[in-house]
Amino acid sequence: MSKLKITLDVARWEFTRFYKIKNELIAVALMVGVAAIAFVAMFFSMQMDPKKPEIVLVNEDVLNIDSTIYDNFTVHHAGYTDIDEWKIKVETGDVAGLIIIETVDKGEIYTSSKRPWMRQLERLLTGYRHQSVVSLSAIPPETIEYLLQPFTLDAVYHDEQTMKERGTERAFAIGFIVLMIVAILIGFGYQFTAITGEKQQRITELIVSAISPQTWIDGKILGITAISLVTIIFYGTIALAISLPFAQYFGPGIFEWIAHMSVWKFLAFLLLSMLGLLLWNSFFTAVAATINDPSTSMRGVFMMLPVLSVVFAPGAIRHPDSTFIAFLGIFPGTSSTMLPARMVLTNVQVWEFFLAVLLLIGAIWLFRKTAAKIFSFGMLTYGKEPGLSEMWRWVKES
Amino acid sequence: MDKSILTVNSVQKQFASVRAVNNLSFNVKEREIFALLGPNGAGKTTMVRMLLNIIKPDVGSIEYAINGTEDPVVQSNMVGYLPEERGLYQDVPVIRTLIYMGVIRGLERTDAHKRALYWLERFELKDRAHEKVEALSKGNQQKVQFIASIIHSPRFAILDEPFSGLDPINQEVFLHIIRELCDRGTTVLLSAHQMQLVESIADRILLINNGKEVLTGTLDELRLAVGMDETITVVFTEENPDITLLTRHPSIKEIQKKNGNEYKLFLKDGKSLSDLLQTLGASYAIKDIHTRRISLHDIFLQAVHSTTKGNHYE
Repeated sequence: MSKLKITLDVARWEFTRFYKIKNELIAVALMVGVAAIAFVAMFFSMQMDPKKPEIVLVNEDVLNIDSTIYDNFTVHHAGYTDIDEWKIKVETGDVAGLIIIETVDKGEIYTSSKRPWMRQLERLLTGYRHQSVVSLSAIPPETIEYLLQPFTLDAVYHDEQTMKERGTERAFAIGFIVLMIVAILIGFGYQFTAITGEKQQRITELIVSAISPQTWIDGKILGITAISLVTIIFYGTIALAISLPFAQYFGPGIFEWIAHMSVWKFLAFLLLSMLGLLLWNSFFTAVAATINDPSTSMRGVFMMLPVLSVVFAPGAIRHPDSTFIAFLGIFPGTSSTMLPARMVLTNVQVWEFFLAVLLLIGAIWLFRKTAAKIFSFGMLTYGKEPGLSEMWRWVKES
Repeated sequence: MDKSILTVNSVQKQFASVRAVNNLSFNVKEREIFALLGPNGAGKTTMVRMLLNIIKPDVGSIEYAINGTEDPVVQSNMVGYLPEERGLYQDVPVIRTLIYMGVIRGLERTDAHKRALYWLERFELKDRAHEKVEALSKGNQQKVQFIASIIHSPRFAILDEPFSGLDPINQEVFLHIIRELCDRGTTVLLSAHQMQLVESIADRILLINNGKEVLTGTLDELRLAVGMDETITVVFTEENPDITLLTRHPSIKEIQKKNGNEYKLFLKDGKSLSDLLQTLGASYAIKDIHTRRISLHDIFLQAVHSTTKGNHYE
């Protein structure tokens, strides 16, 4: 009875216990259904003619107001003598607002509160002001239009190929990091449910009489990691299937774009992501092993740790060659996100990549060992969660 | 049946200030049903967990001799375990649970499936094989857990409280199957509180209290060790009779008051019953009287009370 076979049997059990393709398909069908309903609702709401806000303009002749205002508003025209009468109508809600144009630059609005249509009105009045100012000046409209044009800077790259590769690599690096973070969060949820559920259902004793805690923990890490991977592959494939025709139609051609990606870098990103996922799953397993009841435990905050590595991303983009960012590119907790970013932004030495991979493997080994030790001591203790000092003592004793 | 399959030598285990197991030694012989008894907190579960290598003893040794090899750790496919803490994956179908339990004990998947169906049929649960565990009653879940512990036909099975939560009919079913397992070559170590059931099935018994051995041997050996063989239950006509005469009688070791007029008299081993019956007939008005050999239940109570008072049996 080989340990590897039992580990894979446990991994298979954990995978099939939680991953139900039928449920995933139902979830997708529901999502499609909700999206379809939202689309139909949006379509019909756009078809419907919304009620335009009713406004009153006083002294409008100061500005060159044209008919475009009627596209968005129902407009009443009034003189200064009617102001008090219209103010009452504003207060009773019969009209939305009373606008008194004082000069070409300034006016006053009398209304109940700040409303979304006021911004639209402000934009329109600004446009009418431009027209009025131009008509009052001697500058021809063409000159004004020319003056307002932006400066055009056409870029010519000395190595067009490298430019395209960098763009593709950057997209792939970001894609891997995002997918890895999503996979980590999925894994976190399942791992906590699996381990704390078994403790609560008093299954642990039965299982550890048959297999060692290490075999069980290893099987769990592999099984839950497989769930994370399959889930993101499933949804990634659906997203790709939906977006591919659009990308092909509107973009430069998806296959031409992918062709710019270096195979080695693709494999390096994939390896780092996989190791990062395994590292965090091992870490979560160790944390979950110390929890009896996830609904009352405060240790769920540990799930924020992998997300923290994303916090350093802006720093990596701005200063990819700084010593601190280079260190984060090697440090096991952050290397799976920071190293791909550095590999895209700057030249990373080969030894840095291999050192990061080695440290990741070492950290995974350490976490899975620690998880099994904590688990083997903590699995039969129900009630109070062990403290950090107690867990450290368990690890030392074992 | 004389060859020992398990030998425990002077094992000790301490948790903080509590010594759960204190210098305990015993052996379990091949193909016997060995009962480990003791009051709550006596150290039974700790001992069982040490036998399964779930926790390690502080002092002493545990050695298995299964398949001719001596090993401190038993191979998991050789041992079956029904823990006192019952637990199964509630949201998983019965058949899948049993296949998994068989597979992690070294069975091939198809073999585990075949065996699971066989045992489910034996326990009249075959129709419910594809239902989730949570849909079963407590008693039926107990059956599934029992199957999970013996599906791989272990050479040595540890059954902690196998009868708890079962009705009398199913208790009989379990007794029959445990005996059958033993006949097929499985050595059984069981721990239970249903003394009548243990008495009817166990070949040898180890009684522990406060982590120490109190008594060990066959039922007859235990009777001999406590120095009592028979009990007489007497129902007097009058309430609260004066039993001073009986307390001084040389044949009586102990008297227990059951009800107002019902008393249980424990006879010293080998003492004459006729003397006592003469005294009873001459001195008291008796409504009912019957004799019975001292039961395991009585031995258990006697032994535990004696050790609590500080007395020890040789």
